[in-house]
Amino acid sequence: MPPEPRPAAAGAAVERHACARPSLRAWLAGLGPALLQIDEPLPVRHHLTALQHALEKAGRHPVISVRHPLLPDGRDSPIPVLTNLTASRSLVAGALGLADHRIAGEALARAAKGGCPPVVVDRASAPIAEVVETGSAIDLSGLPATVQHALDPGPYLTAAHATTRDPETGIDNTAIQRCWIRSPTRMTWYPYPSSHNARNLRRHWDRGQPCPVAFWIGHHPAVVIGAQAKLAYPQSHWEAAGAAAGAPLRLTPTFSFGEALLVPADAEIVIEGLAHPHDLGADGPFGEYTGYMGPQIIAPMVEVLAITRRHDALFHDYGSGLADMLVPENMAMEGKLFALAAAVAPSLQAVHVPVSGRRFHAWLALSDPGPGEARDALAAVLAWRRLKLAAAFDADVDVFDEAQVLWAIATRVQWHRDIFRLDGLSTSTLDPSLAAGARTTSKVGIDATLPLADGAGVRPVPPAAVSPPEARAAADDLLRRLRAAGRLEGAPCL
Amino acid sequence: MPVTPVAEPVHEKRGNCLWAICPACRTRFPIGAALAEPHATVPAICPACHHPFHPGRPAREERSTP
Repeated sequence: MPPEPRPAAAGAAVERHACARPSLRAWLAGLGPALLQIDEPLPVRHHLTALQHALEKAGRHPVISVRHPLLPDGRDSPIPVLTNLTASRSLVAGALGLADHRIAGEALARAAKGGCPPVVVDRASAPIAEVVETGSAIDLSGLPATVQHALDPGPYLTAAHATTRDPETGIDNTAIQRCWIRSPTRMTWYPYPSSHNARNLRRHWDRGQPCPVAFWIGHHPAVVIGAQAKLAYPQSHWEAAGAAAGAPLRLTPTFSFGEALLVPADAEIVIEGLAHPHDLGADGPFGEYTGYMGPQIIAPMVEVLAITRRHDALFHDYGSGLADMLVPENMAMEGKLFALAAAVAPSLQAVHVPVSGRRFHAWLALSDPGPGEARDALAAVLAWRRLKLAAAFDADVDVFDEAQVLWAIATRVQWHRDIFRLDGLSTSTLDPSLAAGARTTSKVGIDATLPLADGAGVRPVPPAAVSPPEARAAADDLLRRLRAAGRLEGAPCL
Repeated sequence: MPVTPVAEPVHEKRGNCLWAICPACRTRFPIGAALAEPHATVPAICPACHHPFHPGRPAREERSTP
C-alpha cells in the first residue's frame, strides 16, 4: 500500500491554548458530542471497565461520565466517575492545544523543559479544600473506585498522582501509581522500585521517618499529561505540567503537611497520608498496561490522614491496559524519545509510541537522514527502559498509520542488513515474555529507511505507486459527497 | 484476619510465571518471587476470597507459628 501525502510533523504550527485556570470541569464543558453521559446506575465493579473494552473493540473512544456509580457494597455514590478521558489521541491533542496529535512528541519534549513555574495559592482560594474529611469521616470505600478485571482483588485508584518529597533537597515528585483500597482508612500504594517516588520513600525510611504522600485525582488532561513528563531525579513535574497546559499550575498546601507538600489547587480530590517505615502489604494481581495480569507484589501501606475535595467532586479513573491509559503515557514517552533521538539525529520529524505495542514499540520518522543517522536515533531511544523495538522510516511513511509502517517494513527491510540487537538492557519487569527473575531484556532496532541517494540525488528504489494529485483531489471530493449522502454507511470494512 | 497455616507450600512455577493457589478457595493467581520466599513476612492475599496465606512457607515452619 503506497503512502498518501501527509502534513509535515516537525515545524508545524503549535497552537498553544491560553487557559488561565485549567481544570477538569472546564475542559469537560467544551467536549460536546465527545462526552458520553451514562445516566442509568452503573456498577463500578467490572461493568464500567467492560463498557470501555466494548467501546474500544468498536473503535470508539468517547469520554465516559457515569452520573450514578454503584459501589461494590451496593451503595450509590454521589461522586460521578469519569473515564476514557484520554483514550483518543485527537482529543488529547486538542487538550494540549495542538492542531495535530502527530506533533505531540515534539511539543511535549519542549514542555518537559519546563519554563512555566507554578504559583502557590492559599487554601481559602483552592477548590480542592472545599471539603475536608478527617478522623472517622474518612471513608475511602465511599469513593467510586473501579474493580476492573476478573482477578483484581478489589477497588483501585488508577488515576491517583502520588506526590512525595525528597527529604534531602525538598524537591517534590508526582506520578500516577496504583492504590488498592483495603479499608476506609488504609490502602496499598505501588511506587515501582525504580521510580522517583520509591526513592523518596526509601530516603524517608532510611531516616526512620514515615513518608508523607498526597494523591491528587482529576485535572485538565493537559496538566495530567504534562505531569507525566519523564524527568531527571530529583526534578519537580509542576513546571512541565504548566507548560503543557499553557498556564502556570496553581498549587496549594496540603491539609496535613502544609507547605511541605503541595498539590494542584484545582484538582478534584486529594488523599493525604503516611507510609510508615516497613508497613507493607500484598498488592495485586492487577491488570496492567501489557494487557496481562501483573503479579501480586509487596507494596507500602498508606494510613490516610485526610481526604480533601471539591464539594461537587468528580472521580477520574483510567481503564488500565486500554487506550485510555496508554495514550497519555505513550504521548509523554514520545516527548522523551523525541528529545533523546533529536540529540543525535537532526533529521528527526516525528515519534509515535503506538497503543498496539503497549509501551514497548516506537516508530521514528526521519527526513533524508545522513549515513548512520537512523541507527544513531534507534540506539538512542532503545536506551529508554520500556522500549523493546524501535524502527526508523523515511518521512514519506506516516508513522501514525500502522498499515504504512508494516508496508514499509515489508518492502524496505532486509533482515541481514537492516536490524541490530542489543542485549542486557534495562526493562520493565512487567513484560510477561521475560524469563522469571530476569531484570534485563533484548532490544531490536530496524532501519527501514531507504538506501541513500546516489550521486545524482536519486534513491535506488522504484517509485511508490500513487495516483496523480488531481485524481486524488477528485476522489476526495467524490467521497465527501458520497459520505454526505449516506452512501458509504453500508460499505464493508477490510 | 489471621494468617491461616497451610499444609504445604502453595505456589508453583509454570514457564515464566509464578503462581499461588489459595488454600481456602483454590483460586490461582500470579505472584512475585518475594511473596513465595520461605521467610516472607508479608502474606499473600487471595484476590477472590481475600484469604491471607504464605505461598512459599514450608509446612513445618507454618505449624511452628504461634
